[in-house]
Amino acid sequence: MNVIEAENLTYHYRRTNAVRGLNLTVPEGSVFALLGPNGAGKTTTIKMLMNLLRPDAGQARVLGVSSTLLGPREFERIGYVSENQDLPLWMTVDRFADFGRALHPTWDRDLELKLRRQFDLPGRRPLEHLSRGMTMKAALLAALSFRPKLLVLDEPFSGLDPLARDEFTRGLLEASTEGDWTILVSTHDIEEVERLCDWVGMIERGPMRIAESTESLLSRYRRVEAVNVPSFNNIVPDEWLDFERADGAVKFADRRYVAGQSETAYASAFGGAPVQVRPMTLREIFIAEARSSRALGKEVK
Amino acid sequence: MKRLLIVFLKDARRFRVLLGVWAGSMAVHYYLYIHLSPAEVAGGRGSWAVVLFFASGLAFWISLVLLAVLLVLEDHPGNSCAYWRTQPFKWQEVVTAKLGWCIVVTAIPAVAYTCSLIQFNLGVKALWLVFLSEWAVYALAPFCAAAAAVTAETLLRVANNLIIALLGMGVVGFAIVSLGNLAAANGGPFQDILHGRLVSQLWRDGTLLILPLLLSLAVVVAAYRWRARWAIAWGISACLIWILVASEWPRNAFPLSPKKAAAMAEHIQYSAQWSGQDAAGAPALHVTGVPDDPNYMLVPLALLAPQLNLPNGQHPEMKVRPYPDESGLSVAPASARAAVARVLGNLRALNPSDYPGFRIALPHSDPKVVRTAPFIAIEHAVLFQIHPVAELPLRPGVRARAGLQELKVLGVRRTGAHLDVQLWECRPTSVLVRAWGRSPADLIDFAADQPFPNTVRYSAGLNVTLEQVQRVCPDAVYALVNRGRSEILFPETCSVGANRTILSQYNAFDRTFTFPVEAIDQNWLDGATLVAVRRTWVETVDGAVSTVPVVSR
Repeated sequence: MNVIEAENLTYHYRRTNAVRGLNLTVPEGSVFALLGPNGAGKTTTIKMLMNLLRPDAGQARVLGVSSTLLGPREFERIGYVSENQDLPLWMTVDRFADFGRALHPTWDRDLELKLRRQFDLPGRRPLEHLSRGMTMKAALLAALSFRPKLLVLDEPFSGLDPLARDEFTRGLLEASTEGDWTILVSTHDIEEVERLCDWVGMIERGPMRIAESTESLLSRYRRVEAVNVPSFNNIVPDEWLDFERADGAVKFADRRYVAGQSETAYASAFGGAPVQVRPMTLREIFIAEARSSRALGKEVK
Repeated sequence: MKRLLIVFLKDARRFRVLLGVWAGSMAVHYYLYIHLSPAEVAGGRGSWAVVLFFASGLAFWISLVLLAVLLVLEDHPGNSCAYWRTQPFKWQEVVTAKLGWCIVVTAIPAVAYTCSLIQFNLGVKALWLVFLSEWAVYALAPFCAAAAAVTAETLLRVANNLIIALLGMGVVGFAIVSLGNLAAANGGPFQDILHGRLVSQLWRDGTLLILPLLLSLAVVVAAYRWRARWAIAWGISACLIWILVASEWPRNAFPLSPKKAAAMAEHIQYSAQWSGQDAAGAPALHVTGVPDDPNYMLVPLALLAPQLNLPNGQHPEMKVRPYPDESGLSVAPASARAAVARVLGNLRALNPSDYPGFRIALPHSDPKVVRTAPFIAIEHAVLFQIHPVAELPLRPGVRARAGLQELKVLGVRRTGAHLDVQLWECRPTSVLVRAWGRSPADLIDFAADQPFPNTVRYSAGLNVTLEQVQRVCPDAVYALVNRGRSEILFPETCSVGANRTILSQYNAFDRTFTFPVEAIDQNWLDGATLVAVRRTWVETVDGAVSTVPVVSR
């Protein structure tokens, strides 16, 4: 079962296409990382999913309900943390937790106390007097403590120092082990989600360029480098991204790598030149895809 | 309901400081409102209490407007980052909580004001209407400000600063009007309901008052329902601005020109006549000539009825008989009369055959009693000067004007042996009558004609001075009259009956009109009456038209 299903989602800010024809599926129980460069439409997509923005076209279903009809019943099962969220900063951490507890019947007091200890949140201090990292932790505390079925994190690592990021991620990881939650996290900080997510989607204004499990993604992407290439027919397949050639050396990212078959293709293309094939990290995949996307955009223009 | 309460309490904590300022300033303002003499407030004597009165009033209104604006904008759904938008709330619950607060903070002062009427002005009919009208006055500025803020917040994305500035000016305009009303002790057109005057003009004004209020509410609700889609907000705001421009109410809130004031005074003229006895043999007061609304007389009659002392020395309740038909006149409930009698026990009618007017006597030297009675007077008591028609040398056609004086007493304050009586003649012209008696037991009498916007100060037996003249009526002369001796002092003409000639001294610089009555012997002054008469009447009628009895003991 899919927790989120979006079809042909489109949103315009006046003349600017923020999101166009987006299809998205987030399986239940997954940790889905929505990746994309700045301005790719990640936040807009999430706002549409959370009924904060009404799509200009297309539709989405969240927890089986149309996103435009999300109401109190659904938000009792959805935790939402965003860097842009206007938290009630005048509240103390204690008051903030009390506020959330009053709203959510499923609030888990033990989990709340555990997270507060883990995050080392000062209860009597107003949120506005906390650092950004601490504020985000407080928001995460309020979003996790009622054990939501769906946790949506919009750029949660933005502005956090490495230590805070690590603590935040660890807290998220530990919390996620305590329940069968689905997490949708949008970010461009790929390193942070690499150890967290099991599904990845890449977006850049248009349809999703990638949307699959991390395992599948990492298995089909390879960085390929060949040196002393005697001859090359200058035909670059679509699946070779970020292709570079200089002084008889060739390197690119192959997004359709199949063990055995791909090596044969490389040998054929590069005249039997020695080829080095190594797995790619999510970050490398992201950069390759982003560059390819931009190059494609320029060509189209 | 639970979630509504959560938002409500959350906002209470969020704005606890502002709520504290609002509540504190309102408490101080109302306390001073009750205890300060309107004469002091109107006079602006500069005492710390008066300064505090206005400062607390200003703080009250500013905090009220700020509360409404901040409450509405706090979780405004036009902000897609608003926290509650991803919390289990319905928009209806949030907006209800917001409006609930707005209604609370505007209704409480209206309730306080209405309660003061229950306590001090028992003759007021339809308290719910009074409350509603007062609530509308209190709610108009903050709700409109909130609506303007919501609209401006929405328009920020699409409109230029000019529109926002216009909306801001509208808000400021409302604030000025509200403060103007406050300073003038005038709650706007609905204020007249307090006097039982419900005429069509007022309903029209009231409708124009309610309409922007409802539209403002619509803006706020629409903003929450449709997330402040700018077209809706702008459309409603444009309509609201149009109503403001079309409405005469903001203009009416400011002081009227003398010409218009005179026209208004004409409009509310009525007459009464003392008929001597009714069919059952009891004295009766007939009231006629209320042009638009027979209810106009309800309040004063109810107030005065138990206090009338009849010429023959009896003290029965005054019977109020409808005239010319059965509609429109009634008396206050028995409980109300009892309360009135307790407080205003010394307000009594003068013998109509001797004195045209009522007397307020200081019952005794207990300052508490003296302070209690004025509170009724402060609010909306209306005194009548009832002339035995047959005795008045009136021309046909002027009876309505001369036969009855209407004096709305705004405040009476005693300082030592002095008793200051401030009269509210008719909006917006006010009459301030200051009377001094030589001892607390002195009877203090006062009356005024409509064109009598002057301060009268007299010290019985010493002199009589018109001072602090706010507006010298060009066609009036002032005179001292001793009816018993058929003597009249006409200061301008220097002609006095019974072979007396006393020159008046009129100082145009400080607008003081002085009668040097030292030349008059004490016996003559006893029973003399201070008279304000129109020149035209004097020319054609040999006698006083309206009088202020001067009494010395």
